Amino acid sequence: MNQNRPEQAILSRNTDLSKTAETKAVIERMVDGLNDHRIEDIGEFFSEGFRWIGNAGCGTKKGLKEFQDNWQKPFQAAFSDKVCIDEARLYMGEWAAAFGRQEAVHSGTFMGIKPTGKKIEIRYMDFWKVVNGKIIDNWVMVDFPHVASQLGHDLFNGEGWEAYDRGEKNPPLPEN
Amino acid sequence: MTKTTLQIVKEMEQALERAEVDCSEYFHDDFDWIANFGCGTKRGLDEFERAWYKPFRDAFGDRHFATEHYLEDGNWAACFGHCEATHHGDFMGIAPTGKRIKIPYIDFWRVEDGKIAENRVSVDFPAILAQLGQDIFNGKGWDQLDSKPPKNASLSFA
Repeated sequence: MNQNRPEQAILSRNTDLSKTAETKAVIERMVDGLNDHRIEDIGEFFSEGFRWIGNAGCGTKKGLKEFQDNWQKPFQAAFSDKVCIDEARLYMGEWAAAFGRQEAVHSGTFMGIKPTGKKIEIRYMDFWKVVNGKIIDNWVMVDFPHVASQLGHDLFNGEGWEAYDRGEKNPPLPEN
Repeated sequence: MTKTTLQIVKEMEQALERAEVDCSEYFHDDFDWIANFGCGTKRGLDEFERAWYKPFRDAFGDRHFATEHYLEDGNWAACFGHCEATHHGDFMGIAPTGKRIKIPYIDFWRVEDGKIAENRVSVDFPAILAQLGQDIFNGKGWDQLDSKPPKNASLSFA
């Protein structure tokens, strides 16, 4: 008789799966809130001291006020008519994750680039942790270099690895 | 026993950490690897190996993957974390510095029939360049708006 009983669910056993429905409800309402361009009362979904931990170029916002002042406001100053569209959303216990795009118009200065009026796509990936009905951690990657490229600026200065995809450059061979 | 989505993904990551050259056990031959600007889009396993995996290994050695959280929902899985590695080969025109750096990432995977069919990726190339002394945002990054982090803080990916 097979008595193989390996350790199970190492990665998820500390996740409280009974919380999944609550997490889902908070994230769905929060995304609607962002799509209604809410700033002042966005604390309905984010805890006062939540951490917004972004990639290079986006930064780290400690708490609701820094998120509003140093992320939401500059974002809405640079981009208008924005619509946030998650392409995939995952829920597991207190955690949710999504990737997708914001479609928006470049109507204000972005990183020194004057408004072009162009309709662009702002790609993102998010992880959220929800505790007691509010987001306490938000790990984020927003593709600012892709935004700049749509506005005619290559921040990688021709060094992007897309050149390998297009066959314009040959990747080096690894030594190990 | 059928493996869960997360088990398949986790085994793949361990194989990458071991620098296993043949990844066909984990990825469908025609899987899509779709990443952020600067990293590119690789259509199929051969392209992934040629235009991502090999140049990545060439630029960064002694790689250790520190994934902070995994999540699984049906046939999708996702994770975020960072890879600690040594800059031992040319990276975007920067000659090897020997520096130990952190490479933040987020991954989403869609699994079909026991193998990865789609991999959506963000790898923070600008964070790598910043650690190597190059600010691609030229002082205009929105991290300039942040308050100074307290000492010993480990809030950020990088």
